[in-house]
Amino acid sequence: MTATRMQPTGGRLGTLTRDIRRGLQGIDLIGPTLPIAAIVGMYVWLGTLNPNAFSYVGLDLILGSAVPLAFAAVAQSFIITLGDIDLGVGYFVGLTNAIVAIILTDDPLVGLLCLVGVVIVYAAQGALISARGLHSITFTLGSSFVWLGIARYIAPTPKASAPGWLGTFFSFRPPLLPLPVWLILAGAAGGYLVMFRTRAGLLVRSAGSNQEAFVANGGSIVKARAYGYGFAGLFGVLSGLALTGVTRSADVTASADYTLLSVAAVILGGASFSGGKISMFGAVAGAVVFSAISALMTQLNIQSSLQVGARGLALVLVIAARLLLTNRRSG
Amino acid sequence: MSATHPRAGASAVTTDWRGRLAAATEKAPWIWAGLGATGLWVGLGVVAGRGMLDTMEATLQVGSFLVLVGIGQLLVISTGNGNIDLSIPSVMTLSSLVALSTADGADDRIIIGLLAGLGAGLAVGIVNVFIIFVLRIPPIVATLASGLFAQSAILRRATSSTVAAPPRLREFASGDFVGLPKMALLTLGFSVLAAVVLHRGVFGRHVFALGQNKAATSRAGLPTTRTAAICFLLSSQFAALSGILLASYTGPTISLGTPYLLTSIAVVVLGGSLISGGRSTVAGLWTAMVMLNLIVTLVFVMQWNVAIRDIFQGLVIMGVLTAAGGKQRVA
Repeated sequence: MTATRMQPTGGRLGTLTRDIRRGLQGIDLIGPTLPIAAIVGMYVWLGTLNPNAFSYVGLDLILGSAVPLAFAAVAQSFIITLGDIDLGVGYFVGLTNAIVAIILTDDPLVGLLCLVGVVIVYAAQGALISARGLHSITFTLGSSFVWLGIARYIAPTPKASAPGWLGTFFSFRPPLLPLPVWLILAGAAGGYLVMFRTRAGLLVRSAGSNQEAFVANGGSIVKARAYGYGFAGLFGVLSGLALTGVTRSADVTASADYTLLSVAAVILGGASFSGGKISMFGAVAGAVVFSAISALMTQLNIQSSLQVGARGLALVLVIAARLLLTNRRSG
Repeated sequence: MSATHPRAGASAVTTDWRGRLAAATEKAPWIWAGLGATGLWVGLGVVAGRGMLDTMEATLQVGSFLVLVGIGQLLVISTGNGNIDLSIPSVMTLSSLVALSTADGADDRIIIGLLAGLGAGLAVGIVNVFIIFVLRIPPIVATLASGLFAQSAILRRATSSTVAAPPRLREFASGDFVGLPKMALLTLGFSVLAAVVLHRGVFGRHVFALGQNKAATSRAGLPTTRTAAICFLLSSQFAALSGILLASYTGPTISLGTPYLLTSIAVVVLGGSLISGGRSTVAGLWTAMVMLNLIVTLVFVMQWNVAIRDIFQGLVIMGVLTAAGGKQRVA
């Protein structure tokens, strides 16, 4: 520890946060802190403008749309932990949306088999990327076209359709906090448990933090990627379920933005593109930031055209703030 | 490489044959897409009985816009370090709207319109460079954010009425010269220029050195930030020019650039350039473009569903990458 403190880290704050982080062993505090601070800040502002923002209904309205993106961010987290990037998440959620809204509604058994099938295909994709030494960005770019194509085959045009039980579930009003809040927390907790409390999650994290060392110690990178991509597929399916529950329709391009927004959310949450470093709660908080911005801008009567740009600005500001805090020298 | 392996018997012959194939594709990595394109071209001519020259002319007309943005994306990707330009689609749309509304449909205002459009693209390029190299935010997130800024500008502009292109600009974007589309000739000119600069010039050597090893390039005293920054600025210029011409050809829309987000990356990697940088081929942009567009033609001729087109394109991208796989691991 003393040796670490001797290093020319520049600034006491950097050293302090590093020490705190070491002390807490893997529980990344600075990761979720910034996006959560951003959310709280925006919420307080929102509350001064309109006290209803804090009400049960207000929270429900504002956070409803954040649920599918939060699950997509958890999915992307598994990929980014491996040091990969998945350019297919958006269309994959679109595909599961189509399966849930159309097939699962008509025939629950076939629908369920399809959902299990796509998770297995996702895991197989990870194994193939490792086995052939491919690059994740390009390969998932290719597979994204396939997800979109199959989704379009199932649901050629947007159509209002959802399984009855899913609609019932999403109109459920739990005590204390509205359903979206519970679901978002459950998504983050679920992702955290899988990633940090299972052997498979450990494999994913070790493979991502130092691939050479992982392989040298007899680890199977093919297996690690299969797990990582498999979990990503699982949370992608949950995102598709949530999207169908929120929109009650099949619209395969509704989630096209999720690909890049999920990457942005994960990085907002404190992950690094080089892999190994991840914060599930940070990634989910990052996803919520985007919906909080829209709510705030609407409340401030700012033109809808500027809302898109505000997302970009939040992205730049939060990440720049993080880089200042952690005092990184190279991007 | 493999020829020097001291192996005996049949296996030596196999490795020798494989080695030669590997050497050939190493020299001309665009060959895979070229073979695929030729197969599709001949297949379309024989099976569908379409005039082969007509097919190629139509492909070159429609596909030149893609090659033009592809040159910019290729320059950025060549510099490695995870560099990629996700602002391309927004730049295309923004520049086309600015250029066409400035030109206001008048032939004598074409130059002013072009300058205004290229200027809008340059503005986004400068924002990219600022976020990446001053704020040190990873290029994926940085160009995503600047794309969102541009998106806001697009939405603000789109509310004013859109203007059609001046007649002479429209004529240039859709006309022929000695039997070839003028667009294809312009794009060919830029391709040759880019190939010469990249493979014969000092700048190209800097680009590839940077793409292969940033630390070594920096230690050798070569410019790293400047080289990468120039590539990002050039990318915004190619996207702007392509967007303006595309809007002159098809008419301006606010989703003009959207399909080019993924296809601009696809055309680079399908052509045989490495997504990790350091090795690129401008010729590959053309073979990959022809292949991707002939798939679209095939689906059209066979009157298949658009869903099949997406699946087919995706499988081809995955197939080519998997076939070429393995050796991409060099870096």
